[in-house]
Amino acid sequence: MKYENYSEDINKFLLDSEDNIKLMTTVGSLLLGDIKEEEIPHIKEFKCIKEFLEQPLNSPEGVALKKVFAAAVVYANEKGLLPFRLPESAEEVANLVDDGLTRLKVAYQQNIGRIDIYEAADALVDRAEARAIACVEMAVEVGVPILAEKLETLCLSNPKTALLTPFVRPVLTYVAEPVKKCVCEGIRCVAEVAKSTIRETIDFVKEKSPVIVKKLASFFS
Amino acid sequence: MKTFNEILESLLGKLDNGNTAENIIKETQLSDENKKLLEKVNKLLDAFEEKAASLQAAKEDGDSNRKWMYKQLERITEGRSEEEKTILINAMSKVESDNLEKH
Repeated sequence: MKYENYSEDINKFLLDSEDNIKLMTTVGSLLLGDIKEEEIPHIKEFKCIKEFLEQPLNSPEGVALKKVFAAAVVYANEKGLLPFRLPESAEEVANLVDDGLTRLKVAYQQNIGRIDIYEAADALVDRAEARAIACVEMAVEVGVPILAEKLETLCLSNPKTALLTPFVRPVLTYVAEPVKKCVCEGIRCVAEVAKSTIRETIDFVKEKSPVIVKKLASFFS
Repeated sequence: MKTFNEILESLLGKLDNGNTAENIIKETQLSDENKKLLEKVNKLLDAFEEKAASLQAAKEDGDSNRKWMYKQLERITEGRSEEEKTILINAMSKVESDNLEKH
Protein backbone atom coordinates (compact mmCIF):
# COMPACT_ATOMS: atom_id res chain seq x y z
CA MET A 1 0.00 0.00 0.00
CA LYS A 2 1.15 3.49 -0.74
CA TYR A 3 0.03 4.93 2.57
CA GLU A 4 0.69 2.84 5.61
CA ASN A 5 -1.15 4.71 8.27
CA TYR A 6 -3.87 7.37 7.95
CA SER A 7 -2.81 9.53 10.90
CA GLU A 8 0.82 9.66 9.81
CA ASP A 9 0.21 9.83 6.05
CA ILE A 10 -2.89 12.03 5.72
CA ASN A 11 -0.86 15.18 5.01
CA LYS A 12 1.15 13.43 2.31
CA PHE A 13 -2.06 12.04 0.84
CA LEU A 14 -3.67 15.49 0.77
CA LEU A 15 -0.60 16.99 -0.94
CA ASP A 16 -0.51 14.16 -3.48
CA SER A 17 -4.26 14.40 -4.08
CA GLU A 18 -4.10 18.16 -4.58
CA ASP A 19 -1.29 17.71 -7.12
CA ASN A 20 -3.16 14.94 -8.92
CA ILE A 21 -6.42 16.87 -9.14
CA LYS A 22 -4.62 20.01 -10.36
CA LEU A 23 -2.76 18.00 -12.97
CA MET A 24 -5.88 16.18 -14.20
CA THR A 25 -7.82 19.42 -14.38
CA THR A 26 -4.99 21.15 -16.24
CA VAL A 27 -4.61 18.29 -18.72
CA GLY A 28 -8.35 18.32 -19.32
CA SER A 29 -8.24 22.05 -20.07
CA LEU A 30 -5.35 21.58 -22.46
CA LEU A 31 -6.93 18.73 -24.40
CA LEU A 32 -10.33 20.44 -24.54
CA GLY A 33 -8.61 23.41 -26.18
CA ASP A 34 -8.81 21.58 -29.50
CA ILE A 35 -12.49 22.50 -29.86
CA LYS A 36 -13.02 24.53 -33.03
CA GLU A 37 -16.11 26.69 -33.06
CA GLU A 38 -16.47 26.50 -36.85
CA GLU A 39 -16.97 22.75 -36.52
CA ILE A 40 -19.91 23.20 -34.15
CA PRO A 41 -23.14 23.99 -35.98
CA HIS A 42 -25.59 26.49 -34.62
CA ILE A 43 -29.07 25.01 -34.50
CA LYS A 44 -31.02 27.28 -32.22
CA GLU A 45 -30.75 29.07 -28.90
CA PHE A 46 -32.11 28.04 -25.57
CA LYS A 47 -32.22 30.73 -22.94
CA CYS A 48 -31.67 28.20 -20.14
CA ILE A 49 -28.12 27.62 -21.43
CA LYS A 50 -27.36 31.34 -21.75
CA GLU A 51 -28.75 31.90 -18.25
CA PHE A 52 -26.59 29.07 -16.93
CA LEU A 53 -23.46 30.60 -18.46
CA GLU A 54 -24.32 33.96 -16.90
CA GLN A 55 -25.05 32.66 -13.38
CA PRO A 56 -22.35 33.05 -10.71
CA LEU A 57 -19.88 30.16 -10.75
CA ASN A 58 -21.28 28.40 -7.70
CA SER A 59 -24.91 29.30 -8.21
CA PRO A 60 -27.04 26.30 -7.16
CA GLU A 61 -29.57 27.19 -9.89
CA GLY A 62 -27.21 25.70 -12.45
CA VAL A 63 -28.05 22.19 -11.28
CA ALA A 64 -31.39 22.22 -13.15
CA LEU A 65 -29.67 22.41 -16.54
CA LYS A 66 -27.19 19.72 -15.50
CA LYS A 67 -30.02 17.38 -14.49
CA VAL A 68 -31.87 17.97 -17.75
CA PHE A 69 -28.70 17.30 -19.74
CA ALA A 70 -28.10 14.13 -17.77
CA ALA A 71 -31.68 13.03 -18.52
CA ALA A 72 -31.20 13.75 -22.22
CA VAL A 73 -27.99 11.72 -22.51
CA VAL A 74 -29.34 8.79 -20.46
CA TYR A 75 -32.57 8.70 -22.46
CA ALA A 76 -30.76 9.04 -25.81
CA ASN A 77 -28.36 6.29 -24.74
CA GLU A 78 -31.27 4.00 -23.90
CA LYS A 79 -32.73 4.59 -27.36
CA GLY A 80 -29.38 3.97 -29.03
CA LEU A 81 -29.27 7.57 -30.24
CA LEU A 82 -26.36 8.96 -28.28
CA PRO A 83 -23.54 9.89 -30.68
CA PHE A 84 -20.81 9.23 -28.13
CA ARG A 85 -20.09 6.63 -25.48
CA LEU A 86 -21.75 7.15 -22.13
CA PRO A 87 -20.00 5.70 -19.09
CA GLU A 88 -21.92 3.01 -17.26
CA SER A 89 -21.58 4.28 -13.73
CA ALA A 90 -23.66 7.09 -12.26
CA GLU A 91 -20.49 8.61 -10.79
CA GLU A 92 -18.81 8.90 -14.17
CA VAL A 93 -21.95 10.29 -15.81
CA ALA A 94 -22.42 12.87 -13.05
CA ASN A 95 -18.74 13.91 -13.27
CA LEU A 96 -19.00 14.20 -17.05
CA VAL A 97 -22.09 16.41 -16.87
CA ASP A 98 -20.75 18.59 -14.07
CA ASP A 99 -17.22 18.98 -15.43
CA GLY A 100 -18.40 19.65 -18.98
CA LEU A 101 -20.93 22.32 -18.11
CA THR A 102 -18.68 23.89 -15.46
CA ARG A 103 -15.85 24.22 -17.99
CA LEU A 104 -18.15 25.99 -20.44
CA LYS A 105 -19.34 28.43 -17.78
CA VAL A 106 -15.81 29.13 -16.55
CA ALA A 107 -14.56 29.63 -20.13
CA TYR A 108 -17.42 32.01 -20.91
CA GLN A 109 -16.99 34.09 -17.77
CA GLN A 110 -13.24 34.27 -18.22
CA ASN A 111 -13.70 35.47 -21.79
CA ILE A 112 -16.19 38.20 -20.87
CA GLY A 113 -13.83 39.37 -18.14
CA ARG A 114 -15.92 38.44 -15.15
CA ILE A 115 -13.10 36.27 -13.78
CA ASP A 116 -9.41 36.25 -14.63
CA ILE A 117 -7.48 33.29 -15.91
CA TYR A 118 -6.19 32.34 -12.45
CA GLU A 119 -9.68 32.43 -10.99
CA ALA A 120 -10.78 30.24 -13.91
CA ALA A 121 -8.10 27.63 -13.14
CA ASP A 122 -8.93 27.76 -9.41
CA ALA A 123 -12.63 27.39 -10.10
CA LEU A 124 -12.06 24.19 -12.08
CA VAL A 125 -9.83 22.71 -9.38
CA ASP A 126 -12.29 23.69 -6.63
CA ARG A 127 -15.11 22.04 -8.52
CA ALA A 128 -13.06 18.87 -9.08
CA GLU A 129 -12.25 18.68 -5.37
CA ALA A 130 -15.91 19.16 -4.48
CA ARG A 131 -16.85 16.32 -6.82
CA ALA A 132 -14.16 14.06 -5.36
CA ILE A 133 -15.41 14.56 -1.81
CA ALA A 134 -19.03 14.08 -2.87
CA CYS A 135 -18.14 10.78 -4.59
CA VAL A 136 -16.20 9.58 -1.55
CA GLU A 137 -19.06 10.48 0.76
CA MET A 138 -21.48 8.53 -1.40
CA ALA A 139 -19.13 5.53 -1.57
CA VAL A 140 -18.68 5.31 2.21
CA GLU A 141 -21.95 4.04 3.58
CA VAL A 142 -22.84 4.70 7.20
CA GLY A 143 -22.55 1.55 9.27
CA VAL A 144 -20.89 -0.42 6.47
CA PRO A 145 -17.22 -1.36 6.86
CA ILE A 146 -14.81 0.35 4.47
CA LEU A 147 -13.32 -2.49 2.45
CA ALA A 148 -10.84 -2.20 -0.40
CA GLU A 149 -12.88 -4.46 -2.69
CA LYS A 150 -16.00 -2.33 -2.18
CA LEU A 151 -14.10 0.74 -3.29
CA GLU A 152 -12.94 -0.76 -6.57
CA THR A 153 -15.64 1.17 -8.42
CA LEU A 154 -14.84 4.43 -6.65
CA CYS A 155 -14.88 7.17 -9.18
CA LEU A 156 -13.49 10.57 -8.54
CA SER A 157 -13.64 13.93 -10.10
CA ASN A 158 -12.17 14.08 -13.60
CA PRO A 159 -13.85 12.45 -16.57
CA LYS A 160 -11.63 11.51 -19.49
CA THR A 161 -11.34 14.33 -21.99
CA ALA A 162 -12.12 11.90 -24.80
CA LEU A 163 -15.61 11.67 -23.31
CA LEU A 164 -15.82 15.31 -22.33
CA THR A 165 -15.16 16.87 -25.73
CA PRO A 166 -18.07 15.22 -27.58
CA PHE A 167 -20.28 16.00 -24.61
CA VAL A 168 -19.67 19.77 -24.60
CA ARG A 169 -20.20 20.17 -28.35
CA PRO A 170 -24.00 19.65 -28.20
CA VAL A 171 -24.25 22.33 -25.52
CA LEU A 172 -22.52 24.83 -27.78
CA THR A 173 -24.92 23.98 -30.59
CA TYR A 174 -27.69 25.68 -28.68
CA VAL A 175 -26.25 29.08 -27.91
CA ALA A 176 -26.07 32.17 -30.09
CA GLU A 177 -23.01 32.43 -32.34
CA PRO A 178 -21.41 35.27 -30.33
CA VAL A 179 -21.83 33.24 -27.14
CA LYS A 180 -20.37 30.16 -28.80
CA LYS A 181 -17.41 32.24 -29.98
CA CYS A 182 -16.97 33.58 -26.46
CA VAL A 183 -16.99 30.15 -24.87
CA CYS A 184 -14.60 28.68 -27.45
CA GLU A 185 -12.21 31.59 -27.06
CA GLY A 186 -12.38 31.14 -23.31
CA ILE A 187 -11.67 27.42 -23.65
CA ARG A 188 -8.65 28.19 -25.83
CA CYS A 189 -7.39 30.78 -23.36
CA VAL A 190 -7.68 28.36 -20.46
CA ALA A 191 -5.92 25.75 -22.64
CA GLU A 192 -3.01 28.13 -23.30
CA VAL A 193 -2.55 28.69 -19.59
CA ALA A 194 -2.76 24.93 -19.05
CA LYS A 195 -0.05 24.48 -21.69
CA SER A 196 2.30 26.91 -19.96
CA THR A 197 1.52 25.42 -16.54
CA ILE A 198 2.39 21.94 -17.76
CA ARG A 199 5.48 23.22 -19.54
CA GLU A 200 6.70 24.81 -16.31
CA THR A 201 5.98 21.70 -14.28
CA ILE A 202 7.04 19.16 -16.91
CA ASP A 203 9.42 17.28 -14.60
CA PHE A 204 6.64 16.91 -12.09
CA VAL A 205 4.26 15.77 -14.85
CA LYS A 206 6.82 13.23 -16.13
CA GLU A 207 7.12 11.77 -12.66
CA LYS A 208 3.36 11.56 -12.21
CA SER A 209 2.50 10.16 -15.62
CA PRO A 210 4.79 9.32 -18.53
CA VAL A 211 1.59 8.43 -20.40
CA ILE A 212 0.34 11.99 -20.18
CA VAL A 213 3.72 13.37 -21.27
CA LYS A 214 3.60 11.17 -24.36
CA LYS A 215 0.05 12.25 -25.13
CA LEU A 216 0.93 15.90 -24.71
CA ALA A 217 4.11 15.72 -26.79
CA SER A 218 2.32 17.13 -29.83
CA PHE A 219 1.33 20.25 -27.87
CA PHE A 220 4.94 21.04 -27.14
CA SER A 221 6.50 20.31 -30.51
CA MET B 1 -37.82 11.48 -31.48
CA LYS B 2 -35.24 10.18 -33.85
CA THR B 3 -31.99 11.89 -32.88
CA PHE B 4 -30.10 12.93 -29.79
CA ASN B 5 -30.51 16.55 -30.84
CA GLU B 6 -34.29 16.19 -30.98
CA ILE B 7 -34.31 14.68 -27.49
CA LEU B 8 -32.07 17.44 -26.15
CA GLU B 9 -34.12 20.18 -27.82
CA SER B 10 -37.32 18.74 -26.41
CA LEU B 11 -36.02 18.72 -22.85
CA LEU B 12 -34.28 22.09 -23.08
CA GLY B 13 -37.47 23.56 -24.54
CA LYS B 14 -39.41 22.38 -21.51
CA LEU B 15 -36.83 23.96 -19.19
CA ASP B 16 -37.10 27.22 -21.15
CA ASN B 17 -40.88 27.06 -20.73
CA GLY B 18 -40.58 27.06 -16.97
CA ASN B 19 -40.84 23.36 -16.20
CA THR B 20 -38.71 22.13 -13.33
CA ALA B 21 -35.95 19.61 -13.92
CA GLU B 22 -37.82 17.18 -11.65
CA ASN B 23 -41.00 17.33 -13.75
CA ILE B 24 -39.08 17.07 -17.01
CA ILE B 25 -37.32 13.96 -15.73
CA LYS B 26 -40.61 12.42 -14.49
CA GLU B 27 -42.06 12.80 -17.99
CA THR B 28 -39.04 11.14 -19.61
CA GLN B 29 -39.90 7.49 -20.02
CA LEU B 30 -36.88 5.56 -18.97
CA SER B 31 -36.39 1.89 -18.17
CA ASP B 32 -36.32 1.06 -14.47
CA GLU B 33 -32.58 0.51 -14.69
CA ASN B 34 -32.00 3.92 -16.25
CA LYS B 35 -34.42 5.59 -13.84
CA LYS B 36 -32.23 4.31 -11.00
CA LEU B 37 -29.09 5.44 -12.84
CA LEU B 38 -30.49 8.92 -13.35
CA GLU B 39 -31.68 9.15 -9.74
CA LYS B 40 -28.15 8.42 -8.58
CA VAL B 41 -26.67 10.87 -11.11
CA ASN B 42 -29.01 13.60 -9.86
CA LYS B 43 -28.24 12.81 -6.25
CA LEU B 44 -24.56 13.25 -7.08
CA LEU B 45 -25.19 16.48 -8.98
CA ASP B 46 -26.93 17.85 -5.88
CA ALA B 47 -24.05 16.62 -3.71
CA PHE B 48 -21.54 18.38 -6.00
CA GLU B 49 -23.40 21.66 -5.46
CA GLU B 50 -23.47 21.14 -1.71
CA LYS B 51 -19.76 20.40 -1.51
CA ALA B 52 -18.87 23.28 -3.83
CA ALA B 53 -20.82 25.63 -1.56
CA SER B 54 -19.11 24.15 1.50
CA LEU B 55 -15.66 24.66 -0.06
CA GLN B 56 -16.52 28.20 -1.05
CA ALA B 57 -17.70 29.01 2.49
CA ALA B 58 -14.56 27.45 3.97
CA LYS B 59 -12.34 29.53 1.66
CA GLU B 60 -14.21 32.68 2.64
CA ASP B 61 -13.46 31.76 6.26
CA GLY B 62 -9.77 31.53 5.42
CA ASP B 63 -9.40 27.77 5.08
CA SER B 64 -7.23 26.35 2.32
CA ASN B 65 -8.55 23.70 -0.09
CA ARG B 66 -6.32 21.16 1.63
CA LYS B 67 -7.74 22.01 5.06
CA TRP B 68 -11.27 21.70 3.72
CA MET B 69 -10.54 18.30 2.19
CA TYR B 70 -8.99 17.15 5.48
CA LYS B 71 -12.03 18.26 7.46
CA GLN B 72 -14.35 16.56 4.97
CA LEU B 73 -12.42 13.28 5.14
CA GLU B 74 -12.39 13.47 8.94
CA ARG B 75 -16.15 13.94 8.93
CA ILE B 76 -16.76 11.14 6.44
CA THR B 77 -14.55 8.70 8.37
CA GLU B 78 -15.59 9.71 11.88
CA GLY B 79 -15.73 6.67 14.14
CA ARG B 80 -13.88 4.50 11.62
CA SER B 81 -10.78 2.50 12.47
CA GLU B 82 -7.34 3.63 11.40
CA GLU B 83 -7.25 0.65 9.04
CA GLU B 84 -10.49 1.67 7.30
CA LYS B 85 -9.30 5.25 6.92
CA THR B 86 -6.04 4.02 5.43
CA ILE B 87 -7.94 1.79 2.99
CA LEU B 88 -9.98 4.81 1.90
CA ILE B 89 -7.05 7.12 1.15
CA ASN B 90 -5.28 4.33 -0.71
CA ALA B 91 -8.41 3.71 -2.79
CA MET B 92 -8.67 7.41 -3.61
CA SER B 93 -4.99 7.53 -4.50
CA LYS B 94 -5.33 4.51 -6.78
CA VAL B 95 -8.25 6.05 -8.64
CA GLU B 96 -6.32 9.28 -9.12
CA SER B 97 -3.26 7.40 -10.41
CA ASP B 98 -5.41 5.27 -12.72
CA ASN B 99 -7.03 8.43 -14.07
CA LEU B 100 -3.61 9.90 -14.81
CA GLU B 101 -2.58 6.75 -16.64
CA LYS B 102 -5.79 6.32 -18.62
CA HIS B 103 -6.51 9.94 -19.45
